[in-house]
Amino acid sequence: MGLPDLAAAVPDPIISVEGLSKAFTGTQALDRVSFKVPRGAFFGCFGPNGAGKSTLLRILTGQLEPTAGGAKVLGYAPGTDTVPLKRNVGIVPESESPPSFLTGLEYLEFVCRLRGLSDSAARIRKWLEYFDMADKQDTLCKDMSKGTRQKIMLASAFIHRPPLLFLDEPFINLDPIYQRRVRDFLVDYVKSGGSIFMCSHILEVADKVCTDALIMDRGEVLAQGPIASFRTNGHDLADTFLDIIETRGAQRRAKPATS
Amino acid sequence: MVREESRFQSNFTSKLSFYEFPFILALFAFAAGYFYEELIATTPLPQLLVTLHFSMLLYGLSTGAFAFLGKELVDRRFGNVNFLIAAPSTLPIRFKTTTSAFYLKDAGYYFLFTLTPIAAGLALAKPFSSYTYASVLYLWLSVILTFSLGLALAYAFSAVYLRSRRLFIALALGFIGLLALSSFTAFLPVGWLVPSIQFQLAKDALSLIVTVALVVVLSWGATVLVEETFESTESEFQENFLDRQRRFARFGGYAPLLAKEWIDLERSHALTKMAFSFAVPLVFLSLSIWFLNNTLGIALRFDTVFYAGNVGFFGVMIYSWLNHIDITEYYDTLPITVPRLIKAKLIIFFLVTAGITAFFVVLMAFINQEVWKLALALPVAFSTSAYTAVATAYLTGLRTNTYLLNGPVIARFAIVTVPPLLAVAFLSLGYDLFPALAMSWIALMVAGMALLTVLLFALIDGKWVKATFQRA
Repeated sequence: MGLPDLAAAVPDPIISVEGLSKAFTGTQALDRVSFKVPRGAFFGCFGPNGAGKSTLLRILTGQLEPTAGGAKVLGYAPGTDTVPLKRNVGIVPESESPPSFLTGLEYLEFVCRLRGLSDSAARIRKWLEYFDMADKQDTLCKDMSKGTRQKIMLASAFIHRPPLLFLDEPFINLDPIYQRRVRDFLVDYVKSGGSIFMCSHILEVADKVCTDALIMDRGEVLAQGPIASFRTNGHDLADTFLDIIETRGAQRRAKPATS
Repeated sequence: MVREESRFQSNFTSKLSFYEFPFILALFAFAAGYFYEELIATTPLPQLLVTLHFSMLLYGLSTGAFAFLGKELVDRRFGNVNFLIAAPSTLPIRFKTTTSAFYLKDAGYYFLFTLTPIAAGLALAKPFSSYTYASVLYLWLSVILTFSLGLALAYAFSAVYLRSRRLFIALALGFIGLLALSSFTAFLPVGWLVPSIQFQLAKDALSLIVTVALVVVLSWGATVLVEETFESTESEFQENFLDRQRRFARFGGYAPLLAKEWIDLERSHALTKMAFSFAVPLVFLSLSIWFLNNTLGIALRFDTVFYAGNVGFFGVMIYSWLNHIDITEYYDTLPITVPRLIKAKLIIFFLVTAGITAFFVVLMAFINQEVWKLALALPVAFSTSAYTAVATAYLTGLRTNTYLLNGPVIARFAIVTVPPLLAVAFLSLGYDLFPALAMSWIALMVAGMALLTVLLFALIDGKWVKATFQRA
């Protein structure tokens, strides 16, 4: 199959977010979040548990409605242009949950049919071979290990070679061999013009692959910029991340005493 | 587990809406109590009571397949949700214990949130009617017994099914045979088969003891049969999706979804369970109508058209099953909307139920010697079935079980479905007296329901387009 330039006809910035807020009952999951993702970026979104990363990803992919603010992804408004948006992006969700009663091979066929892909057999073969799943292709998804299910979800997000990928903890449940393989694929994908928005806790990997980063905590953006700006004074991304989060925590603890 | 259930069910709506359901039931019961005198003027009280008990037995049977449910909850997660029943995989507790706790929790839920509000509604209407508070209390107790018997039977049958399909089929056929024997002959009085009915009608202590003993023995037996294994089996299947998709090609863009849904039905064995769940109530209904027509000697005749209208109503249950077979979260990653999946499930619903519906209506026409009425009965069955299923889908989307426990939704559901079904029922009862008039009006109702079906089918898009596939 040919590999067209993924950046062709893709807007820059590929994602723009303005004043995005999301409130659940009793919780402010996102609070006036604004940022831009340049075309061709490997954009990492980091934060402790409950920071709002997955909520942000779900809003950007049209799975959740924001309470306020707006976003444009590939020029689409996620809340209203959901189907065209999903045709043009690949999404790997936080929990690996392919359908229970289809086999791995059948699920990929199902995805290809829903996406209207013509050369589905070649695409499926490529990804089954890439993840060494030939011996598992006839196993029901519900009976697969978590790692194998994750590979199926990754394959289903990559199979139509979209210009933008949304990845929520893509390396979770994968052994080191496949973590490396997925990482290499993602780096090549960005080099060929693709863009990535990734949420992850694995900062060591993110530090090596990301071009831009955003750090969040409790629904607020604490820092954002090119990845180089997080590597100052001999610190790596993980050190800077911990500094920012601890500083913010200290400010939060001090706030009630001063107010 | 009670807290877990309450939080899970109220997750999609407000907690208040969840607790409104019993109030709606009480309101309906109050209305029934208020019009009690008019009700018994047209239908004798014993007949009303037998019908109520049969309905409760059916209700219990349809909700009590706990052995299936428990196993399914352990076998796969509901998307991001895990249930306490699966705790034995990580905690020092037996699966028999969590399954029986699940059973008791559900039984308690139905006693408290369904049967008690009905009794409360009747008690509140007492000042406007001639019955006594004691009779309401008695009805409450006997109905709980009948419902518990249905629940225990379904629990036991489902536990047997997981051990031996052959034994299950033998037992199910035996049970249906006993029902037939009870309906068609005087050899086995219905009170012997369902002793709580005997307790209701004759008020004897022996029937009470026998019912309680049956419920305890069946529940205990079912729990004993529950397996403790947590070994995950690895099932493999030859590729079948493309072949299924080709078979559904005539449905255009729906073909991949229909192929996937059909494979789900086959591999989860839900097709057998659904066909059985659909067929058993229809057997019950057939036997009850035969029983009412031939043994009670009442003036009204429940004909094939009346039966056809009732058959359609059972569609709610089948549509609900279709929404319980598999998780849906992965659809959030694909270019598809909730309304499209709802419509695919409705197409599958029609494909699964059309044959069974036609079979039972034709069978009933032969039993009633009314084959000539099939020209009207079949359109009635198909239009009520389609209308009820599409109305259910419109109101509840992909969360039928949850939304049908929600007060405002159940009220809307009753408003949308009960009047047309009642109209068809009353018109069919007047068929022998005013054939031309009744036939014209029934034909008009069929056309009206068909139109509303098309309208509601179209409105599904607007109502559910913003919904998510997330279960919780």
